Amino acid sequence: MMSDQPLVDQVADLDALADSLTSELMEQPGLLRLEPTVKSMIRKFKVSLVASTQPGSRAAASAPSTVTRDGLVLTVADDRVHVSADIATDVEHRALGLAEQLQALIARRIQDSGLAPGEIDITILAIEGQ
Amino acid sequence: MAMNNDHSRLGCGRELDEFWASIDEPPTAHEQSCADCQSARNSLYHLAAVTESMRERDKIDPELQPGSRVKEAIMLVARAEIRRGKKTPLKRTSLGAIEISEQALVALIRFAASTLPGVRARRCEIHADNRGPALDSPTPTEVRIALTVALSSTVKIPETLALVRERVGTVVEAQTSIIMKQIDIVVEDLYDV
Amino acid sequence: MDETKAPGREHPRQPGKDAGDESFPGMGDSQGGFQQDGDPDARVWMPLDEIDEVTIINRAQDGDVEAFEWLISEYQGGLYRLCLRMLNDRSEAEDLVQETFISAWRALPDLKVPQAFIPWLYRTATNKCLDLLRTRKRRPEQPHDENDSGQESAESRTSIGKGPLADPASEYENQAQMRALSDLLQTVPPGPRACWLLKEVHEFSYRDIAAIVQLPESTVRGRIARAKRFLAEGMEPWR
Repeated sequence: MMSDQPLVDQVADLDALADSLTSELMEQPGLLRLEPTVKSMIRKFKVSLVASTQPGSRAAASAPSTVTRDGLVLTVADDRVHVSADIATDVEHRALGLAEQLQALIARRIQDSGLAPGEIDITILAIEGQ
Repeated sequence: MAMNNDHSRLGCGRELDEFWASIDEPPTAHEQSCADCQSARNSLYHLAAVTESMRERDKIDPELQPGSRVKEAIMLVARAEIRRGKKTPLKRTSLGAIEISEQALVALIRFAASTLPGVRARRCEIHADNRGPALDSPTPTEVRIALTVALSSTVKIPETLALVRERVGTVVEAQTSIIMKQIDIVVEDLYDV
Repeated sequence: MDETKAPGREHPRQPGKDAGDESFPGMGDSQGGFQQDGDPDARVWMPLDEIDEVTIINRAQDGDVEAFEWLISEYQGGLYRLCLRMLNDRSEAEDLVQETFISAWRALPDLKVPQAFIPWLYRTATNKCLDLLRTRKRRPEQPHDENDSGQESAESRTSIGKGPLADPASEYENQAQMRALSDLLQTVPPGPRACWLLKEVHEFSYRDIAAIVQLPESTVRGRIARAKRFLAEGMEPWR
């Protein structure tokens, strides 16, 4: 079940969370980029479509709400915030270790914002030298 | 001035192409006495000179380079269309799954092999053996790879290939925990230093 | 392919050098990453300029964007000039170069023989030029000529190769001759013109050209010979 919070507020919270996650993740040493992918582009499109055609309607409220940034997709479902992150890492840092750090960081920030973390999936899309 | 089949031969019957091939050599006895050949030699020589000037001038003429937006536009499309390939699962923590794209893994392998002197990594194929570790499983993902390389002609091949296997295995495991179960290497080329 | 002077290429390659870099630690720090132990000179990536071209093409085939970008830098100039001398239109030539490389990025992963890549680029660009010229021929009075309102396009259709002048007197004559050749070339039919350009300007072998234009080598030789004679005769007044 979704929370009782109206969709519009939820999306607003998610938006703020997505922005702060993006800037905080980018400060992590070894993370070169959050990689935009076709997946995050399509999600972005779908969300804006839902928002524009069904503002605040019951139908929209029953759908899971999703917010995307480059390389970052946040979805609320079952009262939890699920995150999928696509990353490019610097070869001077251990890629798997960095991915685990990012997972933990994302989970902490979701909790800090008063929400419950769900699945936090990380995909390493590139490992690059400088 | 029409171009027809007759234009591949000179008035005296010689093949123009054969004639052109010998333009830098001294005139033969026939050429010295043949007006057709002499006239053709002079006009073809002149054409060759102008063509050469044009060829060299074109290469450096800033007017004859495509604008920078051409490369930018191509790269924009190329980056948008990168094929990331299949994903290989690395680990499942209590928080979620961690995966690596085939493209990232290939780049890492190429990087690892190319850190050795005399080794240039070329293409790499990846075969993942299993479907990835279970939740918090200590069992790492195992993959097999087929790598093609070019080697410097100065290196000892068997020793170098052993080093490549070792380095690729070590670097990939250090970065991703993936265990290289099998590393097939094909030496495609030897290059001179 | 000769490593120092390949057809279609602008700049001679540096002889292959190696990273040869034992100081690179590679591994062993506690993070498992690649800290370079404070050695700023430790080179990890070998510059692409020092690597053989087949390796670079192979890497682009495996999706290495940096390798692909290197190939664009190396070959876009030659392809552009081929298209320009075929089409006599700058913006059309740029469009075709762009289309050719985008097709290349899509075709690269499936290319069986990396050595075939450069002829493949030239074949694709040549075909695109010939197709475009056929379309133009069917619609002869299309925007390019008097119907074109923009001055930019009129400009883009003329003056191929008006580089800056160095020594005014002899340079002027050189310039005039090159311009005459350039103009004369526009009157050679597209098929023979493409063959002549590939041979004389882009320095491909007859065999490569036969593969590029997909005609028997004998046909290619004939076309080039006829184009040469036509051009040589047309250049007579400039001797």
